[in-house]
Amino acid sequence: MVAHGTIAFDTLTTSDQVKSGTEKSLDTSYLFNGSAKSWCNYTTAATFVNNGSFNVGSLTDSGAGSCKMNFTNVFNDDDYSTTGLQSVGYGQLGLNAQETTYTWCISYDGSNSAADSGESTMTTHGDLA
Amino acid sequence: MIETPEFQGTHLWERLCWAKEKLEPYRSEYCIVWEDPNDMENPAKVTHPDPNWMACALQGGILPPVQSYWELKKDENKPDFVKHTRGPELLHNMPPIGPMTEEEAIEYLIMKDIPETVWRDWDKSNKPKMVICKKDQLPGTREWRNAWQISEDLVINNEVAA
Repeated sequence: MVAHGTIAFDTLTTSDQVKSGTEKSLDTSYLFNGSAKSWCNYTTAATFVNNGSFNVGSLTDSGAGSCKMNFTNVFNDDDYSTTGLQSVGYGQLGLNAQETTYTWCISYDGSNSAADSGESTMTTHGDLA
Repeated sequence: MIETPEFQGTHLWERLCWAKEKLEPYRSEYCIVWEDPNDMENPAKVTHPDPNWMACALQGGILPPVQSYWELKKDENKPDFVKHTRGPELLHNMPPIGPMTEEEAIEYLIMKDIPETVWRDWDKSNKPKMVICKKDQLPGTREWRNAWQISEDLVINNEVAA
């Protein structure tokens, strides 16, 4: 029977028997500090749809191709990293602005005009407040 | 219904991890259409509640009070702001708020994610600066998305919002 509770440890260690047979260890703080802190997959073409997300309070559709991702757990400062992609055949996905509370990307078409996109993604890494 | 653990003192991000695993996302049929008085050159904006966030709001015991976000915003607006130092106090150690109704959750979200200049006196100008509507009341096509505005002759509660 599994009991619910907390296991506290500072280091994860694996023997890595399958690959190298050499023991490797990882400070568990890396798991927190190195993990993506929020993400979303959304569509702007036809209708605006949030397809999936984490650590997002809301998405604001700010115009054609424009999406602001509002965080639930905000960032410590605005120097975190936002990465994003959109469907092949559209154009680039640009970072319009970011503050501790949101990151805001705009999809562009091939002629560099803001335009709706089939599917776009945003992911953030950094330190949370 | 699943019981929320005692989360006061637990990092908010860890609570969201718990919620992502345990709670069924709730996709609200409502959205918030708003116009920023400081940005009238641009079209009306539409804020969509996140389904995982809605699940947290309805569940209760996970989210901090909305005032925590206001305090963080105040800190960020200070000219000497470098980074947040009150995250633990305001987000992780603050007693989480209890379960909300869908209506209360959307009101919370408005006060969290929409500028105060919009919601504080949303109905005090010639036309409403903000309206909550069902998603199927939005225009059926996004072809003219950058021309969307809140209707000047909007009748609150009964009319199409944008």
